[in-house]
Amino acid sequence: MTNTALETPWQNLLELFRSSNNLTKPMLVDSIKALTLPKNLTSALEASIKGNNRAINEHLFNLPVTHQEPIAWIAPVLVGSQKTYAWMVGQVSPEIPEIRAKFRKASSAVREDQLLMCSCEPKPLMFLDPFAVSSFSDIAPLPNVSNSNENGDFAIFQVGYKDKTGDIEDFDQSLVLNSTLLEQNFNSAIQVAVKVLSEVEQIDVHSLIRKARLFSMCHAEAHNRGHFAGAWSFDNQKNCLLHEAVEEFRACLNAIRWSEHLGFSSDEMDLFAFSVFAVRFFHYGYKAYIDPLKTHQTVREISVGLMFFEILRQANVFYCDGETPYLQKFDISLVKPALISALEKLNQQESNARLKGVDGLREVGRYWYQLAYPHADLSPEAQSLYTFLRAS
Amino acid sequence: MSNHQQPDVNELTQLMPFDAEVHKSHSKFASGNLFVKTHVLESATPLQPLNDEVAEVVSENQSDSNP
Repeated sequence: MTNTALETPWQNLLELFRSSNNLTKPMLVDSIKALTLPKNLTSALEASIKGNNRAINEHLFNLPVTHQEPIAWIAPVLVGSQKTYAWMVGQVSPEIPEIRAKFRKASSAVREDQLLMCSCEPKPLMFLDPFAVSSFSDIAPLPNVSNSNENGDFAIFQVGYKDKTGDIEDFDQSLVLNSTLLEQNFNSAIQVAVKVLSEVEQIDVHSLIRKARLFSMCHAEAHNRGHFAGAWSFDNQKNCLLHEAVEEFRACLNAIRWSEHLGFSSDEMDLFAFSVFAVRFFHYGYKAYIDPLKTHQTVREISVGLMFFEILRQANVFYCDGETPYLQKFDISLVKPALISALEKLNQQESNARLKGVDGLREVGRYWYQLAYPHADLSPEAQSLYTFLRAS
Repeated sequence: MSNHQQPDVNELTQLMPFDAEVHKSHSKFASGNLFVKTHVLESATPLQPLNDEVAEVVSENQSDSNP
């Protein structure tokens, strides 16, 4: 279904969303109520416009995975000091039944897995594809990468809300993700990666592009679950600024381990592991690196990307001399083993850290930051790649 | 960023080629401890929710600016 194929009430809703900044709150609510939309959706949209985003989040999260009708989301937000609305009209992603089946089947294996040890998995993610979405992006699209910023930048359709009893724990979150954005980021990562692979034929790029939606959604799903696996699964005690990037890196490594239980072939597992590295280093990391405005969030993205890069470089998965900006002799079959080996090390570190609490986390954080930033800076190899990409 | 995080910020500044200022620009979403705060919007300027949490943001900013 495309935006132009939307039936009238949805088209009208979209028009209302687009003009929402020019309407008072009561006018917007009344105009939505006048449309022929599902009643529970109308009520949830009204509640969200009035400041309670929980109802629309739960509405979207609990839709049947085979839901065919369009869906909608809106929330009042502040950008800078300006009041506006974040909104989206879209549909439930058609791949969800396949993704959920894969993870359901993996449940007993991830419980027994020596690295994952995941006996309590969080709720599955909900994936939506927007037809139209508000955009607040203040960063330019990646240079020479097609469609790198077309679908807005809302990754999770949620703004802050609280339960009756207070904040909702991360484990209990009902996360509604933008799968079009995930796919777009995945394709962007591959497009950037091939620019620096000296022998592109080492990577089956066509297979990767064909599997972009499956892999990017499996990555997100396994990443979220990955936070709640391993020697020290994420909890309120795991709260340490010096460890945040490592926690993010750890969830991605766990996602790669999870892929061993998702029914993928050996080649697919290798491609999946490569794609996780590529998304972290060539999309999130690179995008954050070239963004002139550095924030806690962008610096964390750069750090996670570098942790991946340095692990693979030191494991001789590729050769990179720091002068020629290419990854030479890239051996994709070595990516997953190198990253699983890193996960084994990290798991052992966190097993020990757990006994020491936050100071233990700091020790773990120090180790991985020193790996990501030799001599407190990007390695000459990483620097040469990013400099070349920015100029290309 | 709260005061108890200052030692971590100082250490991060030593470990990375970025100054301490970058850590002041945190998203202010109160929902969730980590994921929603940091993953909602892939944009450099943190988005703020427009509801009762705005009061918390103002109050937190005021406490940040206190010596």
